[in-house]
Amino acid sequence: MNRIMTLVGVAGLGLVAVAVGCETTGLVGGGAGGALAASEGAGCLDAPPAGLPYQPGCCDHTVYVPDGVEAGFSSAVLGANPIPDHVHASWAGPTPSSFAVNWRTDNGTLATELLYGTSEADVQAASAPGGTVKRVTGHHMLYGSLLDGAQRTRVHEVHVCGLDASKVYYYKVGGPGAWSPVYDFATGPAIGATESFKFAVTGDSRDDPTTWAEVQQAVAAQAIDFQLFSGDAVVIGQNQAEWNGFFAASSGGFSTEGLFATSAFMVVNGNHDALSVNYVAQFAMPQDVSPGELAQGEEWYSFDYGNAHFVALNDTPAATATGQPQVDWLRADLAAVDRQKTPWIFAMHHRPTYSCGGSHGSDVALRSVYQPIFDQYRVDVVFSGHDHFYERSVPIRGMQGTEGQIAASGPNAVPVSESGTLYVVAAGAGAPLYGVDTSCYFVHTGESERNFVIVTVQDRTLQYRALRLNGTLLDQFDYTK
Amino acid sequence: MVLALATLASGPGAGTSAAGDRAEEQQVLLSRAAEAELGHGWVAAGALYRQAEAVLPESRLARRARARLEWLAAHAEGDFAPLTALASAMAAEPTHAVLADLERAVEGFPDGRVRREALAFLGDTYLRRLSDPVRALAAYRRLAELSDVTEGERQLAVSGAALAALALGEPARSVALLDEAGLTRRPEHALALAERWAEVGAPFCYALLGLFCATTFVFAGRYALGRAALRRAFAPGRLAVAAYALAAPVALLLLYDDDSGYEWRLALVLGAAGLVVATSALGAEGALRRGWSARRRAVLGAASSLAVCAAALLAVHHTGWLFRLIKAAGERP
Ligand SMILES: [Fe+2]
Repeated sequence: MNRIMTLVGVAGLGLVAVAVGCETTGLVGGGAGGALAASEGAGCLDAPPAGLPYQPGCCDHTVYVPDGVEAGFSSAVLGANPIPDHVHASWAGPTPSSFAVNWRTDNGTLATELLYGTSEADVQAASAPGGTVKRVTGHHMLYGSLLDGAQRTRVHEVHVCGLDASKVYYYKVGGPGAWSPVYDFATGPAIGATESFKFAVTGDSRDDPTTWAEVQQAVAAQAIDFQLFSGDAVVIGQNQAEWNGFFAASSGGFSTEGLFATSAFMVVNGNHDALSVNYVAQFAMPQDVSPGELAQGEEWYSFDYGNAHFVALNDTPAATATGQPQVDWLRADLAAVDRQKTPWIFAMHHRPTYSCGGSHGSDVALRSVYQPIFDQYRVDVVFSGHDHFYERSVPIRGMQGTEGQIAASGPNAVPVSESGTLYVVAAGAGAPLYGVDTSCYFVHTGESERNFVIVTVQDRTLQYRALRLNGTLLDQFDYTK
Repeated sequence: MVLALATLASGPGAGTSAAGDRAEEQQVLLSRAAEAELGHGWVAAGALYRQAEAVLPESRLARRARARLEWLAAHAEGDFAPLTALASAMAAEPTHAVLADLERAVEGFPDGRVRREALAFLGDTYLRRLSDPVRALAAYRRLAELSDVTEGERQLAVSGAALAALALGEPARSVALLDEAGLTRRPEHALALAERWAEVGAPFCYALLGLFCATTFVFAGRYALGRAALRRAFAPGRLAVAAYALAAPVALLLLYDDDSGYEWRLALVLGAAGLVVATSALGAEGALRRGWSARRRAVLGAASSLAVCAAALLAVHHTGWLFRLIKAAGERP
């Protein structure tokens, strides 16, 4: 009897443990497969080609579909609850001329259309292309995982290309009879342009959608152009219920529903996201497929925005983090950066290589592999999460054994003429906060507090602000190079 | 300001075309507006944002100007005087003196968003920065009672008050505050319930465990269980059960390592679960060995099951998962 009770007593935990233990459950298989469709020609066709993967109209990039999903192209079928929710935008192609949108509907809806234009009123009124309104169609995906039981999820994905730089577009998604609200989205400046832009950095929303909503409410007030998210969106990546909470988090009268539709949300895989099919299907990141890369090329990627280059890396599991394919890719990617055009380089990955205190601390193995590359290519700032607090390092350049060497800096530990890289941990947008420790040699400032970072880049000047949830300044510096 | 000076620099994307000129003009205006905001020149900032917006209304930066204009319009009460007071307090190092000044000023603020945001700021800062839950509670109560408070703000105020009550060591009061406001689905509610349970349930579980362990060992000693009995007690089947019981909390700790200081929690979980499994095994062995009646065996089995449940509850609590499980149970599927 006591044995039975033992089993009963911990059965719930046991189930969770099974889920935890199987981080690879729901993993999306590697490889890009053979691209079937080439470009559909010079015109921006609004109908997709017949096969997957495919090249959306006017786009130069190929769109691959995760292995663990049932995918198909848009057709005029509406299910019982076809109104889109969880609408969110990102960049899978060039930031000045494209954007991608994902959303969710009921499983029966197969209409995957996007209407867009520069007139809000025209887009609002339209149910088909015509006049100033254009249409793009995309693909839908149906997936489920062990934790979802019989429940499966239908998400949709459309890629819009051929747009003008630094311009506001209005769009809605769904299909005739089932449109989302109209959202606005702004394309990025021409690559290399010195126009000002502003992005937010958040991480580790994980198990508290209420706090996540509060963080996003504070971020929304900053009028950002896009957001970087350093991983761990949910506790168990294969649990769709948690993703639903992530996209439609609410606190008081505020909801994140639709918020991510108006500015690109660029994510990186965290240990909890576990590169699950849910993660890969719901986000459209750049799919620059490189050898040995999972998730159809979304596992690691880079993009340019204005005069900055952004690199996103996957550091889970450790074998991937420091494995040759990603390291080779990172080196090649950074070697190809034209610093005249994009003088700023920002990197993002989940596990911090410099972190004092918390549950995890510095990942020294990761540091030993990444830092020499960041050093060689003079990366400006590296953003991480995983330790749920805020921390900024002094500028670091060079290593003695596995320890970083403190580089020259000006007041407030700001680098001088690319003297060193700043390592930032900005996490805890929902996950429980960890105690911070500022006694390590590499820490400039740290605080155990809900936080987010706002970076404004204008030409050669970077204005950096770390804020608490209540809007007060936690850390700040201006850096001109 | 550096940003303002830097705006006139041109890059590959900024040509000499009319559109390029307008883009540069827009950027200069935006920088000046942002600078005006930093100096609390809200009216001037608004005018500059309007100019910037008009220069290239379809541009990305016009969108930023519109967003700031909306924000300014929503904070314009009292000709921006309340906003200036709040912004000054937020920019200062938080001290009791700074917050007391703001509290006095808030009494003179007209109805509106800034007054409500100022009270939320006061509650949050007293609670988190100054560790003064008494004053935090007062600020949150004041906010919740305002006639123009929005539903969202009321929820934040009650949740803040509940956290302040927790900080005062009064989980029952915290639960009551949230219950009265109908906020049973806030994470603070789960937190307060978990804390309330810990106040009473945890000592009870420890007592139960202690009693059970002591009784079992006395029992084992009294009936002089020998080596053979111990071998049977720790048979592979029982060890497998023990391993299963231990696997979940240990996995939660090691793989999700959610809280700092998990080493001692790990030791506690291992110790508690291990002890219970061992004593259960010994108890069961003893009962079987002496050929007890079915009723007596059932009593012993029930007692050991209770102890196992107590250990599991403590493990869940100390790994931080009681809060999560309560939260998950209260959430809609
Ligand atoms: Fe993590």
